[in-house]
Amino acid sequence: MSTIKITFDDKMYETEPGLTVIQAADRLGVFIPRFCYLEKLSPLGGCRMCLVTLKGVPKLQTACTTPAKDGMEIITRSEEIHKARKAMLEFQLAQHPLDCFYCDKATECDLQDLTYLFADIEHRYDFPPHKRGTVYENRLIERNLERCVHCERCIRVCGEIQGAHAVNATKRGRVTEMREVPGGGECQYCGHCIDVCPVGANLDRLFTYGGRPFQMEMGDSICPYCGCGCTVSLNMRDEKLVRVRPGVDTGVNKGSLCARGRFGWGFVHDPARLTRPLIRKEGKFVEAGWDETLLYVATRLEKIIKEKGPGVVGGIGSVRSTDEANYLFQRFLRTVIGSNHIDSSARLNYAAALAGWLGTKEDAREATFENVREAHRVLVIGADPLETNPILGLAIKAMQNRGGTLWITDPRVTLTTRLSNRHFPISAGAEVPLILALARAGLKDPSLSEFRDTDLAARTGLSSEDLAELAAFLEEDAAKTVILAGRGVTQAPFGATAISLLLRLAATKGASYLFTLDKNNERGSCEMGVLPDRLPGLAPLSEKARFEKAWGGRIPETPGYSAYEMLQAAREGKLSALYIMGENPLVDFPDTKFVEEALGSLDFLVVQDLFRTRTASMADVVLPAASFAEKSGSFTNLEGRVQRFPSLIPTEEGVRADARILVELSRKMGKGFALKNIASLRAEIDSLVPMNGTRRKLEVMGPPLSLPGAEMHWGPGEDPDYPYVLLLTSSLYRNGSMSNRAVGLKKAQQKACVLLNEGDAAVLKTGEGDKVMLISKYGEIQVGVKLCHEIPGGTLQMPEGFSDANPKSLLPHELDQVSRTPMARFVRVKIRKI
Amino acid sequence: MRIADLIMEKILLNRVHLENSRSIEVYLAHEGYEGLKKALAMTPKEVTEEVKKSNLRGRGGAGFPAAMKWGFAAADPNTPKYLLCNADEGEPGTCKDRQIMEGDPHELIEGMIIAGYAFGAEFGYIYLRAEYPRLVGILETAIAEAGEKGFLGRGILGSDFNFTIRVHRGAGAYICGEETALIESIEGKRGQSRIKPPFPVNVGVFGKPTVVNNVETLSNVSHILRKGGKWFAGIGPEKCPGTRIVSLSGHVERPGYYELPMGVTFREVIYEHGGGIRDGKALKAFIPGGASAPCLTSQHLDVKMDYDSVAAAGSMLGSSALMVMDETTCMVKVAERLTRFFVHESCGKCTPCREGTDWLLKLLQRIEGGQGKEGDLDLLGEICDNISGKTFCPLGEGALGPVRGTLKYFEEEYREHLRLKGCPLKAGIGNS
Ligand SMILES: Cc1cc2nc3c(=O)[nH]c(=O)nc-3n(C[C@H](O)[C@H](O)[C@H](O)COP(=O)(O)O)c2cc1C
Ligand code: SF4
Ligand code: SF4
Ligand code: SF4
Ligand code: SF4
Ligand code: FES
Repeated sequence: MSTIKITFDDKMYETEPGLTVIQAADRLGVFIPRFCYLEKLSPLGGCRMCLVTLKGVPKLQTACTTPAKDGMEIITRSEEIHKARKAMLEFQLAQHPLDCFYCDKATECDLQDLTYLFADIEHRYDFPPHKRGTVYENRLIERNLERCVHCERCIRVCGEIQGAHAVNATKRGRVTEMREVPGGGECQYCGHCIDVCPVGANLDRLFTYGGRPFQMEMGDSICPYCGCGCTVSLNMRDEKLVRVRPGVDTGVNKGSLCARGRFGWGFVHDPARLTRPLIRKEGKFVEAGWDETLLYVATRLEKIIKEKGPGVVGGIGSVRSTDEANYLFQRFLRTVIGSNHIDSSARLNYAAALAGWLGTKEDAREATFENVREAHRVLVIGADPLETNPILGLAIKAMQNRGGTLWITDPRVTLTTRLSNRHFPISAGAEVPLILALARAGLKDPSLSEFRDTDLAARTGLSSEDLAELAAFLEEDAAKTVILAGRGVTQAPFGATAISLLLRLAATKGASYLFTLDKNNERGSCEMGVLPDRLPGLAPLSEKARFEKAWGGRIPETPGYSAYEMLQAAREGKLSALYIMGENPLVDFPDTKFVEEALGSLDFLVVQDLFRTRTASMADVVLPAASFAEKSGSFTNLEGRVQRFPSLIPTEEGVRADARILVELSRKMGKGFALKNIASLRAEIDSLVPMNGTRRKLEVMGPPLSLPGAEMHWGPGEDPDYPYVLLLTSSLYRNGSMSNRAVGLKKAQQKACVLLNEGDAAVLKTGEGDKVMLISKYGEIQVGVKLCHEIPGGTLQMPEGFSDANPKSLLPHELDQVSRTPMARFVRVKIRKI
Repeated sequence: MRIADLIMEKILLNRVHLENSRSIEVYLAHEGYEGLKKALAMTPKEVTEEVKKSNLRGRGGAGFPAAMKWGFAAADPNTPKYLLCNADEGEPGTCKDRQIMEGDPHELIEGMIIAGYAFGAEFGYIYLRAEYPRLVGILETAIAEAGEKGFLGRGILGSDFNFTIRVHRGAGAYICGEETALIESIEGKRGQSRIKPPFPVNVGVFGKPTVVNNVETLSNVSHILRKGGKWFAGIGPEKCPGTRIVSLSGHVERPGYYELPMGVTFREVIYEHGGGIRDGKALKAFIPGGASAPCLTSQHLDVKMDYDSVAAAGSMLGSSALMVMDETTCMVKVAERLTRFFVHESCGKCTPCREGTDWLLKLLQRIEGGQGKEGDLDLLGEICDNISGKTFCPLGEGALGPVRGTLKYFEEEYREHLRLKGCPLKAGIGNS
């Protein structure tokens, strides 16, 4: 690469071309003060702190807006420069409130630091400062208008990186105020405007007076919410979390966070956290000691196994917990209990994608966040990354900012469809026929010859021209094309097959792919063998000898039940005991009534969780578990990146980490794991599942997947008794039960509501804010109405994840015959006004 | 001999007195669109050459040669290209563009079409000052008329040249007269200046090559094409030929607008065309080119009214808004009033302009109000120095004109305010 030579203060340097003077200075360690410049934002040139002299140019120039050119001679220190910068500081300080004493930003403030550096600043301004106060129009961010230095970093980060355009400059001149105003974009509570503010003008309202940096401990961890796996910096005071910020431009998130990562930590110290094991005695929970409880669990399990054999015991591992805990969980079930009935809520999404991947012979390239940022085209099928995986969403926005194109096929109206350059509104549930059509166009596979393009087109609801354009989209520039797929595909009948076709398409054309994963460790739990038919590293059961040797126990030969098969078996009396680690099927699984009946039919239910969830309330034993902040281990993000994190907060007396509980329980059952600590556990995992850099080496295959019949129909069909189709959506502000306990997220959005077309609302005589009853064949819920002109008549949309109204209870639990995943994207409902 | 006597007729305002002067029929009856016809018979390069020969310099304030700007935009391979007519006319005291648009809108439109042809623009916008709502209808009617006659639209007069014009109403910010802020504003953004480079001729509105020209600049173009660049170059001073519409205001007998050749003296403008100082009073000071031009005094009456001469005298011709003040005027009050304008219009983007002008204003108010402190005059000067050369855009620099000009020539009057703890001139300039 060619370099340029530039001189700073008579010293010659070499640096890369294409930089501004301030960028070159930063890379070379030459100090230039600044307020408005920030590497990740477009330059503003407003604060005038970075003034330098370019030899041969009479006026001072701003280093942040001047391109560094070969041979340029730059002076950064001179009397003139010092005087000019001092003057800028004097201007900034003129009407600054100087209330550092009770400003949350003190000691982390650029204005303080620079003033300290230029200690000889005069304060000649002797008028009363303009009083403008603080505004609280944002529920999570305090905007102190008087401390603002007008660097516009907040505006730029909100527009350029977050794409929200929520903060804007209002008014003009001296009285300019950075605010959210009607007509501007809606705040997405990413909190990025807090981080970039050089002064205490944008502050985290959850933190107010939370502490000075020297009173806090800070440590990097991994966000426990979604599959992005963002690096978060946890700030603790007196062993309590007080604030979460992004790691300093590290991790996949590169300094960004979403609302959940930043404001969703409240559950950690929620007073409702369980702190003592509970045993149900005569129908009531009583607190008990750990020893007593684990002994009780061991005894009950042993008795059941003795009476009915190990095949009546099952386990649901956790898409929330660490790789290590999930590994131990399946080892516990397989060797201590002797059962392969192991699954998790990854069954609702990633397990189906995985089945598709395993069934694909071609080697498709898996994308990284970086690939998405640098892509030219992204095609999203059946996913809403802006809500489910917001940092992946930011990567897409960054791709668009660089001139890339986003196309999406989705029956819903979502944040991602709104962002897209083109939205193909397919019929509800039409993702699979769409992929069949694309595969027919792109693969020339004779086994697809029985499908007719016109039939497929009719099923997708798109014109054949649209389908042809979509097929063509994948033909060009494939090396820079990323296909993103999500639950719209994985939760459809033959979704795994469709994924497999999509991967073959990607491999054939040279495009890369990525799956959106709602939960932080869907991928890790599967890769650790929390699957009925796969061992750690996704090894098939036929390879069990290797594991038996390592574990010193026998593994059953036949695959176990998947999640819903366990529930069905429980209802039929074929499953007597279930151990649930960190999951809440009664809320998160479709068909609540079915799940409730299944759990109620069990003889013995153990639930290990942070809270007394609805599922835990049905248990015989509840074991209080540690949160992500209180344990160490790794999560595997949606790119397959294995990310370790340390324990940063001590657990409360009575709370234990998942892995420790499992080790102790194994001992109580007389087959104790010989594991001393997390390091020996990691060594064991690494020896069985080798790593390849930051990812696991997974050289496995599965059976090819069967195709649907040509007559197959997708979608909700017709039913005059249930005239509306309810489409489920995701919300940025909810992601499982932790989020419902996080005060920050509840502030961001309190309640779920159902989106209703304006015309339908008129017919139903309901309006915005009215409560209605949604009734399906499987259940009913009450929810508030929000009108929406974008969604078509006859269609409703409603987010999952809000504890006040859970659409999962409206869903059936029909399983896909290939992946045994329940179909959970839509259901027919009727509406009753209340 | 007076230069004004050399040309018998006006150029820009030679039709405005006619009945129905705005209508295309009257325009056509008075050589209207002849320039365009001539231009279309030439190559775009030849048209630019002709304008170059005329030495037409921008009338928006900076005096940049028009043909050179067009040449830059024409050389950029990116398309489509845009022509933005700057009709923001925000400079206090300026009302020249309005006379043209109100009285002879086709003169501007024809100029725009020719300019667009010369550098290959397809789209034209007239960025119209918010305070001229009446002009919207006038301009739109004229644009529609021109379209009906085939002077606008696709394949103009049988050529393969396409050009359309739209009127875009501003929202009342002085800064939006600055060309890059104007571009932001047309794009629907907040009116703030952009970083240069890139210059608008390469990356302008919607990221495309863009020429911004003032109304008066563009209105000269049809005449230049019709009568030739040489003819135009012969009017007034060699370096800055043509006429200028002077907006004469203040304490003169006959305030108003006057189209005069470049290079007339201020004495001639004020005493002959403006009829001298009102009520027989004496002249105290005059501001030769809008709010940001430092004031001059009676010793400068023989300075010639062209860019270079006024600059040599330590001020600027700017928009030719000539404001005249008689002996009863308090110069501190003048500085205060004009600074108030800049404080109000500062966009707030850069520190020295945002904070510094506000501070200047407070000091001026305190001095004028009789609470001035020892050292306030030095402080005024230092704040000016601390702003000067460090602002993001020229507005902040321009904001220093009133203070610097009045301090330079009327320091004693400032000192008297300090000594007397109040204004020595009871009348002041009113409270507006
Ligand atoms: C603060 C500021 C305000 C301006 N206002 C105007 C204006 O109202 N009208 C105008 O024509 N030019 C104005 N200008 C000058 C324009 O930036 C630009 O130079 C001019 O429109 C170019 O046209 P010209 O080359 O025909 O003169 C302003 C410049 C500044 C810095
Ligand atoms: S929190 Fe994020 S979306 Fe909201 S105003 Fe700040 S930067 Fe914008
Ligand atoms: S609020 Fe903070 S980030 Fe925003 S402009 Fe003011 S000082 Fe800059
Ligand atoms: S929820 Fe996902 S996107 Fe949001 S901060 Fe956590 S890992 Fe990142
Ligand atoms: S000088 Fe600065 S604050 Fe003033 S108008 Fe220009 S950019 Fe805005
Ligand atoms: S850092 Fe360069 S102007 Fe602010």
